Amino acid sequence: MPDHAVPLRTNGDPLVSSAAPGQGGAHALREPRPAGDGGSPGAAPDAGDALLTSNRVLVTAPRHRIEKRTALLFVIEGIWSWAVLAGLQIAWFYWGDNVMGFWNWVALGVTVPFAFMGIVVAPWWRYLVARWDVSDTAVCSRQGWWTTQFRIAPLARLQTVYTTRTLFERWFGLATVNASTASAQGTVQIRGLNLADAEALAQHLIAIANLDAGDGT
Amino acid sequence: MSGSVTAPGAGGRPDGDDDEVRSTVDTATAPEAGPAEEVLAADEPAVAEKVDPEAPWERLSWRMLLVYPLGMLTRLLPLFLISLWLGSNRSNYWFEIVIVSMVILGGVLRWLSTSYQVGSTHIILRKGFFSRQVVTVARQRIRSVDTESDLFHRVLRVSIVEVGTGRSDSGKSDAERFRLDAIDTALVEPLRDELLKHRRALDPSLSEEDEVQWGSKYGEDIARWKVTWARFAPFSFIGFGVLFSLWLITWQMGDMHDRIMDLAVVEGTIAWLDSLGQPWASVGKCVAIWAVAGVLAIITYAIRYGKYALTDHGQLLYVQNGVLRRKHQALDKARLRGVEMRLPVYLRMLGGGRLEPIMTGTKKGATASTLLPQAPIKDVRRVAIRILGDSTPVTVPLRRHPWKAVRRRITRGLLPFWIVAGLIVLVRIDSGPSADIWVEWGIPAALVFLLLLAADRIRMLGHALLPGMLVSSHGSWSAKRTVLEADGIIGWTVTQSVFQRSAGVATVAAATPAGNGVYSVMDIDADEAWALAEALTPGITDVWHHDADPGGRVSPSLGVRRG
Repeated sequence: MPDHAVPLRTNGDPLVSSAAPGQGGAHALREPRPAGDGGSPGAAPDAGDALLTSNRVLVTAPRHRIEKRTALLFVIEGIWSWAVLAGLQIAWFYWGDNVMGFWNWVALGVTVPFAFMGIVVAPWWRYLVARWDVSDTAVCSRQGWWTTQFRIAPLARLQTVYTTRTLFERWFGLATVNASTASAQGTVQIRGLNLADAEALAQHLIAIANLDAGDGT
Repeated sequence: MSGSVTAPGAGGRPDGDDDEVRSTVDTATAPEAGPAEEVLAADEPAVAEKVDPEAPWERLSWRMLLVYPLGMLTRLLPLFLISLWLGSNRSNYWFEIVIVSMVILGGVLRWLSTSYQVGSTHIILRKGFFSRQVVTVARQRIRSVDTESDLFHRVLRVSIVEVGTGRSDSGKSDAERFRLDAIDTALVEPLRDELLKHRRALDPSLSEEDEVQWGSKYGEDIARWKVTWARFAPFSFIGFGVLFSLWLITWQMGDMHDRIMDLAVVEGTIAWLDSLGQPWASVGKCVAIWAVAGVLAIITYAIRYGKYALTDHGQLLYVQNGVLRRKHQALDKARLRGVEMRLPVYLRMLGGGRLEPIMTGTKKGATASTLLPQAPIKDVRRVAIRILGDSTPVTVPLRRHPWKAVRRRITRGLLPFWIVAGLIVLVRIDSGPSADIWVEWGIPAALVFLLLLAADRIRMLGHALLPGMLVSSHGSWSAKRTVLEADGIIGWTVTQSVFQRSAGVATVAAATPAGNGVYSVMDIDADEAWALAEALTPGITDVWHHDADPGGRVSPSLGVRRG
């Protein structure tokens, strides 16, 4: 693992290292609410405006890119799924009772632009978006293309870390690292690492996650 | 039916309650390492070392040979009734004979192939005739011994016993269950005492009286079912589900489908509706199907939730359900992470809603535990407040989202409209003027309907940030108001589509092991996305927290580019 360019800030909280209270963001919020708020009788209960001391918290992009050849992997995977659809349409064209009838054209008109986006545009876009990073206390990934998602999971909540390699990934010498939490939706998935990097990352995550004795729920 | 609930371990006590009796003792967590329970093939060496040579192998009660076919045939009874009623002019009854003999044969095979052993370190269950399975459970890891019995079980004095290790039921297949169906009721109490011995030694607070109380009527009543609640039943999908399965059965039964369609009532109604002219005929048919489904729904709802009661037993919430198949479920409050009020628009218009728990380790989908079935919204609120112990999350007015989120509700709400309209236009092009009626009626109807839904979505959209608690609300057709404890959140995701990025809004999703696994706040101001996550899970942005002000618009799902 490379050294962190940004030094870790820690306030002694075992769960995640974080900035000191009062500095950048909402760290002071876990303290009891001041007695003054909502003091006037009949005041409507506030819905969180008071809790958001700063309503602008920004994150920096994760540092690490994935392997460049992953874009080709995405292309092949894209072709694979669209090929099935294309095959169905060809079958429909040949064996349907109305050869290249109206609805064949409709289906073709819908399929072509989507397939173009899926096979040509999406892989490179996904490569540009995909980034990942790991700190001493959390792991994060950025992925997607049309819809991008930025996911952060504290290492203390990790349950299992595993690598998977599909057939196509093996052709390219790539691997996927999954850092899964107890939630089905909380898995941080990092695709397109080369095999050695993936194993090193998985080992690193396992070593840190093991320090914690809780059950991660 | 007396409505009383018997003590655990007394599943077969002859107390006049002819229902299924079931109770659970399930409180502590078991953090030990190693698998609590395993399913293995019969000949694996791992089994051999767990078998206690001293302990005897027991079999199920022989009376199970009577109970099992009776229970199965009762469940299949509607099928038989329909086939006898509509197929009464048949000369052969091979269908019934084959089914009955298969059920009986299945019972015999199960009795022959099932045996269990209570050893010194593990309990072992061997089962399966065609594929042998061995389920082993480490005795130290046993956390619950549930008993249940329905009418036939009680008459023949046998009970179903299921041993649980506290692992969530959601991922469990039938093969993995340590379930004895059924053993002699007289054996249940000793077995239960034996299996829970280590729990009593471990936890002095778990006295035997407590167990009796958990399975008894003791406890504070939170809600009980009322007959009037059945008025909400037609406004759910239960009825359509039942109707659809009945319809599938009629297709299975040869000419029955035709016979139903030939009934005078059905034929008359269809003929009358067809005489009304095209748009009204279709609408009328939909209403007629809905009316039939509504009647079925009221019946199903009453059977499923009749005798429903929610009681508070200190550490446990106790949910009872069902008239015919009685279910008693204990929900551990320690695993509760919040509640979800389901307020779908068709139910909300009648002043109804339902309440689901957000808890770890419950089943998902149809078998999930429900805190309150379709009920008046007043009761839903009251129960939610009672369970959360705080009225703020339920009653607090929500923060509105930026106006761009409102605009997105309309543009997104109209997406199905463009698809529907496009398809109708294509059909018109393809099939000519005969489809004009659909252009004329279908397109405006879809537009009005979807605009109304979009307006309702705008009304329901919002969130509130309370100390240690996230309240979020969105949706219309399946609107929900979710209250989630911050302690239960184990990760955050900020998602933006291209359109969301250009509108400057983002969707924030909190991952949790409980309930659905993820609860999201839709379309909040992009700058507030990570602020919300930070407020509930301080320090989540960790080293990626960006201190300086980059100025201008920055997307929270892409992050600020490092300089």
